[in-house]
Amino acid sequence: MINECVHERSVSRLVSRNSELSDSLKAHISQCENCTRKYNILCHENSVLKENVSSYKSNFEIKETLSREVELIVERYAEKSKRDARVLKNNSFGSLNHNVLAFVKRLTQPISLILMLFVGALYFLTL
Amino acid sequence: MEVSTVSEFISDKCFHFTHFLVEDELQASQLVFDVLQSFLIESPSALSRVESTGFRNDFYSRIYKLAKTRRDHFKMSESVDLSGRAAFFLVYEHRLSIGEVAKITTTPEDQVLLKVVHARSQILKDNNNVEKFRTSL
Ligand SMILES: [Zn+2]
Repeated sequence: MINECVHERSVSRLVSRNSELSDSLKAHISQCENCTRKYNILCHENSVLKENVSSYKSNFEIKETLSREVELIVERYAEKSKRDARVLKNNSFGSLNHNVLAFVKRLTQPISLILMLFVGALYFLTL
Repeated sequence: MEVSTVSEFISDKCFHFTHFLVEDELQASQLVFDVLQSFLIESPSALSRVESTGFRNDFYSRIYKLAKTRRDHFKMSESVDLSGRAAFFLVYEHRLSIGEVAKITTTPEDQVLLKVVHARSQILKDNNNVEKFRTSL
């Protein structure tokens, strides 16, 4: 039965987090049988984890296909948004403020003033 | 919004995370597209913040939630703790804080680290070389 070393916990904590080991701990590991064993196991575990996680990365082919598809989706969406905005603008009755102002503006045009005078004159003639 | 930045983020980081969760290439691609579509419908302006941490975490959170909803469809074994795998990946690969991971996976903060450790040892357990290496020393 191998006795545990007090430094094993530090080795375990630092190596499993991929943290930098201090020079004194490195020196201890090289001299302590327990810590050397622990260190080697943890490094091996880290390489297994790294390989496992990396195996799920997109390879060149997948990345190309995904990028193309994403660009298409985003561009299609941008076009649709533009089209919707145009339709909304054409079909919109506008705001009340905007409509009142446009109406008043049209009333002050010469043709409107002549028409108003004409209607007014007709009204007085019928009295 | 830079379309190329969005597509780089999705085809690289998002696919990697999703593939790790669902373990099937096709399902992972479909899931990523579906999350992008939902983002475009709900908050399209947010895509302009594609480089911000908040945006990225929101995206990871949507991926995790959709994967969880579809886990029966993926024929995922019931023994797989999806939140644990997600937590492990986000801590190990993206070095996210426990608080961020807790939010993304809707897991109480005090359980995140336990889940990470468990998912880590599960991966090691599934790899035959680990035990062989241990005993060879
Ligand atoms: Zn030692």
